[in-house]
Amino acid sequence: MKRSPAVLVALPLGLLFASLFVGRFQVAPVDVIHILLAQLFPGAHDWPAPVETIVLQIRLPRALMAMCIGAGLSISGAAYQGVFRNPLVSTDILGVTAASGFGAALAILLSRSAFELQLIAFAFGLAGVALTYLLARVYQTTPVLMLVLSGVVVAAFFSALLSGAKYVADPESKLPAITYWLLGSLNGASLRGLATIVPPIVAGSVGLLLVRWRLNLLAMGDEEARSLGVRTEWLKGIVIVCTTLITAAAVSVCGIVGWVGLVIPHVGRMLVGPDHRLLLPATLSIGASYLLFIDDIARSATAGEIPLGILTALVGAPFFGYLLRKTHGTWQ
Amino acid sequence: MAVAAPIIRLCGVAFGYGERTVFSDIDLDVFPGEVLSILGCNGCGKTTLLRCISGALALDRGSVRLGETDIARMSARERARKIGFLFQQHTPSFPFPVLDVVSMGRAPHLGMFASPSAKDMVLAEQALERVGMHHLRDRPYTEVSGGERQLVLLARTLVQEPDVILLDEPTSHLDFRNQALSLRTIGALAAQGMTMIMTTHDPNHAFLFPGRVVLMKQGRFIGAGPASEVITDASLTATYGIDIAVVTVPRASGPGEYRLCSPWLPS
Amino acid sequence: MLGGADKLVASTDQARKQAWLRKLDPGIERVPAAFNAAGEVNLETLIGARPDVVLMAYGGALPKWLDAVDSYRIPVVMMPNKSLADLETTARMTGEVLGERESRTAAEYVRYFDENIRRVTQVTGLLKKRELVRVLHTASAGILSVDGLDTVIDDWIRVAGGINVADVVGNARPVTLEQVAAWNPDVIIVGTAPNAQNRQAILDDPRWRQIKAVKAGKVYANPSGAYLWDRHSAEAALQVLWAAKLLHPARFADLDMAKETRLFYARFFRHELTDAEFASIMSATAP
Repeated sequence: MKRSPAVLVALPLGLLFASLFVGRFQVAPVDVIHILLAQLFPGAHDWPAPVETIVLQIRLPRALMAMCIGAGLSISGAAYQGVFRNPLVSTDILGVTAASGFGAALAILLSRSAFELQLIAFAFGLAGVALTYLLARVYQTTPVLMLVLSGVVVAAFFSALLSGAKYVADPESKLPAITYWLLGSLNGASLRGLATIVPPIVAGSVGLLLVRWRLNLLAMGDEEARSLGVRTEWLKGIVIVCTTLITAAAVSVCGIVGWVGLVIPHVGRMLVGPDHRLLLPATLSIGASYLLFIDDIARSATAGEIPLGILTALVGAPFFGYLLRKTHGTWQ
Repeated sequence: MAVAAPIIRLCGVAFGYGERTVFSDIDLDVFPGEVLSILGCNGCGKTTLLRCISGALALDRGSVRLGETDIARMSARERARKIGFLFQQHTPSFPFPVLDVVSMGRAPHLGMFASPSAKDMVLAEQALERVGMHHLRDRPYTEVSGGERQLVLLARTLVQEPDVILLDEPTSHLDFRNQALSLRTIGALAAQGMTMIMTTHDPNHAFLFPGRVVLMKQGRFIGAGPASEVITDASLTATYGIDIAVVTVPRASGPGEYRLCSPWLPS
Repeated sequence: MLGGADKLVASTDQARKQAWLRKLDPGIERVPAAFNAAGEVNLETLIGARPDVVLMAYGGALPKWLDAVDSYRIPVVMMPNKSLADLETTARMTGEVLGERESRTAAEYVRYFDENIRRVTQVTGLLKKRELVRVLHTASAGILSVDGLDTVIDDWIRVAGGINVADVVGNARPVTLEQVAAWNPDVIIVGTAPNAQNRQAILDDPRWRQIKAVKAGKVYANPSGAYLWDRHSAEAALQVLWAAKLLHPARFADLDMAKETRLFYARFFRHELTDAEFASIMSATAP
């Protein structure tokens, strides 16, 4: 893995560049290059206006968003698997996905705009995790088992509310919207949406990267980490806040995209080992590349849009099965 | 030994889980350079006592002083610089390389967002050498044997550069050979002047180290002093509630003798 | 509409929520909703309402309550809803089920429907291929979905002299914005409530700006009355007129939607529309 840093930087950037050439709309590759160059060196325009909109307003924000979300979900998943010391843990363990999902359904029921939907889903995601955390808090500590169980409770509660929202939704207009939203899609990606999710995802990722060595200590167990002078409650709090910011932002804009936060950390461990100092940066890169690649398929394979959640599960589940067979359930 | 000031001093220590009192009115002085062995049955409170000394559990009454400072007033980080803790049981997590696990002991000396420097890694390598496990430095610590792992974790506590190391049943779950290896390493550390407090279920181990023995039963000390004085047929029988005999056997080669304890089986 | 409103003993949650339907037939609120929005039945409510027959729209999948209802010897009549002809069939079948008087009304409605279709196709049938307008019938801008082939929507677009650009099959299919740009429709009709709001969202979005329909300002909200005009409603008969005038205003200059709508509501719903009510239907808002 001597060359890995260079590869990990080049892979997502190369895919980003390639993604600008892929799509249902026929855009000549030379036009894409001209449009990109024109952003750096303003000059004469000799391509049709719709083409520029396609490349800069539709493909670019969507590709960047896929990268942000893939990177964010993956680094969150890696951090959670460390904190919970469990390879089956994913980013939705504390109920953020279910709560965001209900928030989004509520926004659809109330006919809010796409942007308001994003904000409402984000707020509900944060609230859901806060609820889990409060529920799990006993004697000034939050034992991992309590967190997981509280997460189950909160997720079940919001799932019930979500089902309620679907139950009362109008089947002609609202129900399909909720259903497709829950299946996950980057259909609504826009520069404005991107601008709202980048700050929480970047802040959360930076926070996780700062404590990445301490995650190794936390992975040894709460009590051992405390004996090494780690303020475990603080550290857990930081990790939960960071991952929640990231996941809520991601879910709020693209719906429920499963398996990324579960599988990518394992891929990362296969490539760079379990040390969070290397693992977290690696998952950022692999996750960004993976979701970007999957979304390129989702948006260009058929005339209709293939829900992202279907593809990530379709690829993620068999791959996870393969990992299980290969490692026999250990961390290697 | 008695002339030096105690490095750890327990005054009227009491602790309980809710209503259930584990122990009370415990007084104990531990002096620099000694190995204090705490003997007692399972459930007599010796592990809990160790955890109280480490500051992991808050006392109901009394105080634990480390030098001049009350341990309750120290931060986790300050405590971890003074006290190392070797846990009885360790659930292996990710397959970190042995050297990385040892370097984790530097945590109390590093800032919240820092990770070990090259200098810290040198300290980790030295600690591995001290416990004789340097040859394993690049192996995943989850793949080494239980005894080796115990010594790796001991190296991790050494890297903390503590004044005192607390060892909770350091030989449990180990086979005979690994027990001997662990005890030899602990003995070597003791010879280098490391202060240690160790709980053990095997009174034989207490004979191996210089320093005092404390016998604990149902949350009380029922005897304390040098092993040769405290560990007798009567005191062990009282501690464990079964007949135990202490015998002296001459060494097969060379001068000196061993003292051994064994349960007395009715024939 | 067919005059059998008093024979209705149970309805659906969705019907009770339709503001215009409640206004035209206040009785809808007196009968219990045995079916929820998802099409699930409350069997006890249904049996308690003692229906002689259950009428339902059949979209290709048999409901899972069918056997249960069947075991109570209540016949279930399934009516198609994938084309304009299907809607006429639905009206005819409903009339037959309800009785002789209702059958006559249904026949009258079908004649009226056919007449409207004929009136429109007389003109649109003569259009050359290049004169056909490329139409996209979409849902909201946020979660973008469109209505494709093999639907009532596809049918009335064709009748009204348009081409449905969405060559995907079925109602409310999710598509990418880029696919919409590739289709580049001449006209966009917004058919997901709240229509007006979703229409505005499309107009405000910079990503839609280069699409022909948006550039030309040809983004419209679909009318909605007793039911959504664009879907399986009685007003589909009006929808063909509205869509034809929308797509080919010059060729249907003599067509007065206000007049046609008033006549239709008076004739089939026995309701005299005010100007405000007409405006409310056209903008798909509650009365």
